[in-house]
Amino acid sequence: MKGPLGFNAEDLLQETLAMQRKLMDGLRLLPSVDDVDYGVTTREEIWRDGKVTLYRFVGTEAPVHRTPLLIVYALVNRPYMVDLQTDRSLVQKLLALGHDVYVLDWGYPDRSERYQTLEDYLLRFVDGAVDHLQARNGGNPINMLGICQGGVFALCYAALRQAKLANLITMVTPVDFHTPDNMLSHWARQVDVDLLVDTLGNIPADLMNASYLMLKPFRLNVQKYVGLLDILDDKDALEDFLRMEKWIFDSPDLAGEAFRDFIKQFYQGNGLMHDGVRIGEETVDLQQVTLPVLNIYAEQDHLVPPDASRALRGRIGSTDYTESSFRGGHIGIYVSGRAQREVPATITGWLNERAQ
Amino acid sequence: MTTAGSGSGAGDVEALARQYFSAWGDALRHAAAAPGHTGGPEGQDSWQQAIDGWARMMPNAASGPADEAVHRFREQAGGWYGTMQQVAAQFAGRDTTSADVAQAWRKAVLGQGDGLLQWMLQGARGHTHPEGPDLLQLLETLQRQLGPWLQSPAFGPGREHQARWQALLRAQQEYQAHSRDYVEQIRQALDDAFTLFEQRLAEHEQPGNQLTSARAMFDLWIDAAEEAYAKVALSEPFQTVYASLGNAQMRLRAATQQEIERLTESFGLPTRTEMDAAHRRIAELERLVRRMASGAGAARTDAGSATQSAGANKAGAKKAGAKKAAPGKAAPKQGKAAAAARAAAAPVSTPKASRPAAKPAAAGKRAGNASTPGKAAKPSTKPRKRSA
Repeated sequence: MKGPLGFNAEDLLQETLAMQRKLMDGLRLLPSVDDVDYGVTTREEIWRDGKVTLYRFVGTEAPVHRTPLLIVYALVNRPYMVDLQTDRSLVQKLLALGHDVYVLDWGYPDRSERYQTLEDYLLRFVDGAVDHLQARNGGNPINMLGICQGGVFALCYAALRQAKLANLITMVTPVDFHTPDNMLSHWARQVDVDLLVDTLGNIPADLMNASYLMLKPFRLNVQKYVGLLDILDDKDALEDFLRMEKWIFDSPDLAGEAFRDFIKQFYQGNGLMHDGVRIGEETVDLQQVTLPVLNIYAEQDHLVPPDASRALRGRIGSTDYTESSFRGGHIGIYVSGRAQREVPATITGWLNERAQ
Repeated sequence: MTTAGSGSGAGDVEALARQYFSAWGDALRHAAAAPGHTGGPEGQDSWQQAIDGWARMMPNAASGPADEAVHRFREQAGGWYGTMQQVAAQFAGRDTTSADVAQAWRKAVLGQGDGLLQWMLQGARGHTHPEGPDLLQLLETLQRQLGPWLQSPAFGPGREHQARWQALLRAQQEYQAHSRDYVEQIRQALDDAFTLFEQRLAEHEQPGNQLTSARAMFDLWIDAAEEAYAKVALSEPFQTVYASLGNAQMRLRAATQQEIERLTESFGLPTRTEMDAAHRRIAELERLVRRMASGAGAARTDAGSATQSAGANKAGAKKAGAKKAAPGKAAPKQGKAAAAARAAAAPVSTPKASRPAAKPAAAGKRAGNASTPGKAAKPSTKPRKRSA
């Protein structure tokens, strides 16, 4: 056959029959898949302020490293991504490597939290949790792992309250929001965020999710669900798929004022690149960040392009700055097999070197 | 739990499924047997019927994420893939060219109008929440019913009301104009994607590099479509159109909300604005209390440091004491109010029993600072979503 297609009618028929068999399998299997479970590690609540809760993860062995490691996650999704399931848990790997791991859970803001600002998130909630962990740690500084938007929070916090931190790790964290390949930032540039927040109050999760899906509309809305056909006969794979779906769409609404603040200062103002970020009455000066920093980014990240993360180099005052790239995407860095092998080990090795 | 494969109805379900699938297979065979056949609506219908029937046969037990995934497969993905199968069937086993295949694909997609693009255009149709009311439809109805009144000059006692409604409808018209601009951008991306698809197909014309399945064609199309879309979406015109659409949507929504507030207020109901004002005051007070508390705490720390320093090194005591005097004095100035503020602002320290972090329990209430001592640690569950 000449041309780009190298199949005949019989090939096509066989392909169709194979797909029909998968659909029949799905008919039997899908209803037997219960609502997916997530969050595999035992955890205990140790501090709470409003809806914000600080959890300590409990490993099977006592931690070897005494310095608490606090994970600060983004506001836009739920933090259980770091502990999704047994074979996909950054938390479990870190626990197994001897860390004392904590996570700050922002909860689901409702309209009564509409007026919470970035100042509240950083200087009330993050700072409150850090104070609590410091108190548990004999007043000594703690380690912080900021992820995505949580990494931006962690950077700002380090600039404002550095004495409370020993080491800072940022993961898939945007610093330069105006790289040419940052589609989300490109779209946000001319949006009247005052009008948006004044009208909507809190920003609905569905609106945010629709925006994320439109970053790669054909892949995320079409191809992904055609791919579902491939796993309709595999219960484990199906549960993995559904668990990920659950996480993707289980998004909190965003507190309006914090959203306004974040879009204006970071997405539109690119404040970290111009030392223009203000948190409440304080100015964020990244030159004040002189503690050791490990910056982990994903090479195929469509949400936080590598250049957006790598921009941190040279912008902080620290002379102890390490960059680590991960071959994968924004989600893969939490859950892929490669990530499970590489990321916790990288973090541990880096922290160990600084614990000497 | 009910499953499709259990119970007395299982055989019926399978038989029904096979019936749907058989019709779909026949349609494909028909397309493959008729050179030049465009794959027409009958083939697409049989695919859609098979997928719809399949989804309908899914018992109610498939709820939650499974149900959502099936819905998305049926509504968004299935149509595209089914259409690609039809196109593949037209050319299976025949000599062809990339241009012919790309042209057939273009024709098959565009032949369904906006059918395959519905999910992409939703954002341009006023939805911020899928369960919310169709704002545009509502306003269009109003415009039809109140058209003459809204187009005439406003005067008399109802002048202000009429003027507001006229502004609302202008906002609607502006929104529709921006919506058309957005749709035009999407169409442009799609048009570019067809061109790129043909180029990508041409890269597979060499023997040994040919596409070997409809699925491979489909994946190639996805790659081309994403590449073309990204180029448009990262352009300056798209940035402007996107923002203009979003801003117009918010202006329309704000005007609508204002009218709804007026209506509810006239019945003595509390309004969103009133609630927001109260929430703002609470947030500001909480912030003030925290600032006072942290100021008091810092002052105490400074004073403590000064005392320790003085005790530890008598030689330097005078200097240290003088240096810390100012902040040290500030604490008494803030006095009881600051101490009370600090106590009020203190979050809850809750060391307590551990539990596996499994399925979340119902939660979602606003937990006050001092209201949760001893509360069991439970992951929060998303509260029921509001309507837009």
